[in-house]
Amino acid sequence: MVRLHSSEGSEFEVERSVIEKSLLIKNMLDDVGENDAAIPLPNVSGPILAKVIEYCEHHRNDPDVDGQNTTKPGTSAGASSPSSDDIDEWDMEFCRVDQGTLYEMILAANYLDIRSMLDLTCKTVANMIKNKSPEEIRRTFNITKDFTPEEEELVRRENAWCEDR
Amino acid sequence: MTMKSICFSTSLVGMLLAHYAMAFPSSDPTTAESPSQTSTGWMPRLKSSYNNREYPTLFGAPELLQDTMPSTFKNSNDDIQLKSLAKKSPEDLPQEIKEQVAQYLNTSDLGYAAQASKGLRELALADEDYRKRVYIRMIVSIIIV
Repeated sequence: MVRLHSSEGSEFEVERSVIEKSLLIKNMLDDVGENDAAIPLPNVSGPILAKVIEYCEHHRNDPDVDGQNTTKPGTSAGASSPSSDDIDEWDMEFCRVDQGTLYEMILAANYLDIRSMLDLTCKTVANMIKNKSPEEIRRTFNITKDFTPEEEELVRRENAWCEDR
Repeated sequence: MTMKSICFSTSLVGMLLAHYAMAFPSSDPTTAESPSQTSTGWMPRLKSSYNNREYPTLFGAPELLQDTMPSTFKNSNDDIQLKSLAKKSPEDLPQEIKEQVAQYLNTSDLGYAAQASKGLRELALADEDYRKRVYIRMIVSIIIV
């Protein structure tokens, strides 16, 4: 078993084979060998660490996906981007959280180097942007238009080709 | 005479002990004082209680346990951390993550995102294909003008 300390000092105990989905922790454990000391994770809060462990436990038997989806297939032809529609039901439910939590999950997956979780959370954000107008995107993320009228006109001209969609 | 020399010896020994006590204060770690930061500023505190706040980490260096200082005494780094926890929009994500999100969007979606806000324009510009499209558009508009 491996003991993990979240940023607030909460302790989590998890099987080594489960948490080794995190390359950061795997490398740490490989470096120090057998050790009972808890691993401090100052960048990850307790609730987010709980989500990370939940993800790792569910995907413990998944094959390593390192290197997948890191480049755009068909980039040379200027064609399609990698699909963000291939999210299974459990993963979709796992990502059904408020936006603040989702961004914290992205940052945690990035920090802990869990490639598949980072892909999943980024796909979820991408799906929130897909097929939406600028106004709908602003509403989805509760952001305000911060362009001056001149900038807005410039950006609109810059992206005039989007109207062909 | 004997009585006088006994009294003299006793006071000499007493003086020596007092001098020794002043020159070499107790080395007992449980009673030695060392400064440590508390919520009211720098106050002397027993060394043993200070040491109890540390525990060994995997890397051998002692790690301080989470402090219990009220938030009003926290420094600016803590404020930055609190702000980062309040992130609520993809605009605030680090550039490397924006690139990761952008790779799942086609150029049209990125074009619409770019028109939503400055932060999302940065997200769109993180994508190479999108940058190429914008660049081509700029060249064409210059040629037309």
